[in-house]
Amino acid sequence: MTHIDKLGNFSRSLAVSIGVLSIAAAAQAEEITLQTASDFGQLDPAFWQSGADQIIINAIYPKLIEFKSGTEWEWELSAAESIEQVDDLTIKFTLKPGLMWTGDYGEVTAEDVEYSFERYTDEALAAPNSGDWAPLKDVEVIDKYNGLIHFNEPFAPVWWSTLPYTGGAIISKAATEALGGTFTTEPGATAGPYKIERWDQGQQTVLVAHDGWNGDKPAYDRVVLIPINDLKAAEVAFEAGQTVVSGVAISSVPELEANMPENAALEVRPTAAYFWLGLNADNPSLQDPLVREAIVKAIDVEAIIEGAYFGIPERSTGLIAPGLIGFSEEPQPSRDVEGARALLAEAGVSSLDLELELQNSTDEQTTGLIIQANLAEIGINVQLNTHESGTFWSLGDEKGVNMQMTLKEFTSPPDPAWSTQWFLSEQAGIWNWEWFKSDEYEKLHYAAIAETDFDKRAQLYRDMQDLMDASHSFVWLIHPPASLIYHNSIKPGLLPNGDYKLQDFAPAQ
Amino acid sequence: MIGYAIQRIGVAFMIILLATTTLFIMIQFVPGDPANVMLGPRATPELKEALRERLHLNDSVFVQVYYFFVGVLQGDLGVDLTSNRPVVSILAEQVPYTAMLVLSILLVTLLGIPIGTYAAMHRGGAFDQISGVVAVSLIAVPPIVIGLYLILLFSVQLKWLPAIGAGEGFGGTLKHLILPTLAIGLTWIGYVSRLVRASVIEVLMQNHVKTARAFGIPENRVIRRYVLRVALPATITILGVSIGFILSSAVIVEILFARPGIGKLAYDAVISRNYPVVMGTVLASTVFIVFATTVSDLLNVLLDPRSRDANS
Repeated sequence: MTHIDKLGNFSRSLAVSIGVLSIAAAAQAEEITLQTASDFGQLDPAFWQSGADQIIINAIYPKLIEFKSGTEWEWELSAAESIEQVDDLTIKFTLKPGLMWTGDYGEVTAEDVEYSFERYTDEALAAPNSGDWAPLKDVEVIDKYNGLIHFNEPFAPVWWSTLPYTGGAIISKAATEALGGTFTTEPGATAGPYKIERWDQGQQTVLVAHDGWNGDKPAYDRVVLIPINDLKAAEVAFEAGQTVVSGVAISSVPELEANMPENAALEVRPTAAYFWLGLNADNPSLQDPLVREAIVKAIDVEAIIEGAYFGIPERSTGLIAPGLIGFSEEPQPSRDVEGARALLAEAGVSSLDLELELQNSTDEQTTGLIIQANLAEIGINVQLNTHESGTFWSLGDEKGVNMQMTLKEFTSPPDPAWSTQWFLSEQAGIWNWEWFKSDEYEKLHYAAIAETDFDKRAQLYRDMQDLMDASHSFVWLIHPPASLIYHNSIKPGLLPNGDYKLQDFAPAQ
Repeated sequence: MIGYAIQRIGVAFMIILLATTTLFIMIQFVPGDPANVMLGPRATPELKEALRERLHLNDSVFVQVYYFFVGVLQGDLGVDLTSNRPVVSILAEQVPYTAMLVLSILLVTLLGIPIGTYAAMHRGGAFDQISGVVAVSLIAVPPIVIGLYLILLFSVQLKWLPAIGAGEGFGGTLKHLILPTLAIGLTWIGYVSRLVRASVIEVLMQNHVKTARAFGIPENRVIRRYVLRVALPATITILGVSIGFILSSAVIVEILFARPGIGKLAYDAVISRNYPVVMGTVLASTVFIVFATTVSDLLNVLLDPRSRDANS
């Protein structure tokens, strides 16, 4: 063995030793360091916007109920000792005693619950998330721990996208009023399992366990969240031992599966988000339903999944993701090029030039190229218009009805009403870039919001998806997966869509 | 000299005013609605309209420019559209990180001076040839590639240095500065060393150096007093101008190393159409660049009386 070989072996041994030590240190029960996609910007639950806002809000404020971590969407009691739907318009709750606000703001009471929920309907506050509590009539305080939530009309999403979600966060009435009724990044008081110890904007957020929390004590005393937007940089930070949990790019999954870093594990989960090709039914070139149907038939979704997403996600069956109310198990039809050609011939179209608007990410561009090739086979020439995200999302205002085909991804909490609302006719040109208009769909949307029977509600959403499919304005592609890598000394606390539930992170057994 | 300095500072203010106004106008033509950024997809059209009104987005560009400069004079650059925090406070937190990075890059870049000088004094020798090859190689490789390799080697493989963040305390900050500094600085060491080498070789052949040597003045003194004094002003000018390039490289490096700083802040703000933050970062970086070029010009004049005469 030469000196160089010996030196190489020594360096490798040293590197492995230092690596193991540093990763082990990063995973000590006292503290964990996690990557987030961005820094938070809004901690007022009525104004939250990003996933990073949501992670912190879910950790620092109590909620009556909260989602369980795991792979199924289920909720459990949190700040509430009990909660029940008394009738279609009333929910009764009882708070657990002894939950304390930070600072000198005392105990969390039913008055805080009343203040937190009713402010959404306050027009003066002008909260963009007021839809979370749109049908709320009021919250009646019975005594310190008991209250009744009254609605003007039945509101089924309250159990899925309001109470256990961000809209269910309880803020301190006294502390918020002391701030003038609103705040952004510095809440007057918090009472969740964690509280903010420090925030260095753009660098890190440090959370520490809150002594006044009366639920199960979080396994880690301190959680450090580091915003790393670029997923490749995030992967490197994980491999360098600086984080113990990190998002990874979908393109990295096959490589990681083949060569998993030592002591690491990979988690790939479907999300409630949906990615689809939209066809604008109001555009002169696409007004003929036969033309739209031909395009739907000509797209090779399996090739897109293989080419742009490395064969990882399943093909969508519709708007609503697996695991959510109203998910349709009926698969979408396979590609039918001959059928597509026949439809175009029936429509009297021999050649057609169309534009496809898409964002500049690698996966969307690959998807666009496959669509371009698919449609060329039936005589449709597609021009790809690639935009960065800011420009793309302003196309509704900029191009309006002149948009023809668009590739879009929307995210969603685990209630289908969030997803179906964007395709109402009032949203045409705003977020409904397909200009999809159906009176029956509108009727079903509002009926489903008011339907509290689980099975009946699920059927209403399946019917709505059938209407969308019948319009031939949508080619459902995938529900984009969340992919994460983590050190196997920890058990990550993850919601079914891969979002962090910080208080459920624990050392692996 | 004082007259020249006053004139130069006046020009600096004009540049800041012009650059900021131009960028402000250019931003108006970028598609994307800040009201969407601030309020999100679920806000009603009425809420968005009210916000546009409040931010003067419905006014003409000139009215907006007016409000912007009135705000600047009052030390108010508006608020971050996402967090509602004053842009001035955010800049006050972020600028030190970028300033530290730029300063450390400049300090590292100074290594190019002795390397270039030594190479020139031993022209054609082994050191000259090796340093030439290394320097040209470093100039040719983009900082992001150098940064990636540094991370893979020193952070992922050897785990000696951190890959991300800015660190805390003196030791932590220093440790977190090493890789980002080298990612940009190595290119500049190569560049400066070649520049100094060429200048020194040129000066070494001039008569006053030959005369100094003929008088038996020690070689070290000849180099310090008669060679570098003449050769360095051009390098200082280049370093002053390089601040702009270093700042633009800092954007990439801050993203790559997930470091806070005005580069990353500006990038995130542009992507999210957070215009008050974009304008704040543009103003800060313009002031920074103009300050650096002004100082380098004044230093140049101080070191080289010929340029003083030319400017006067």
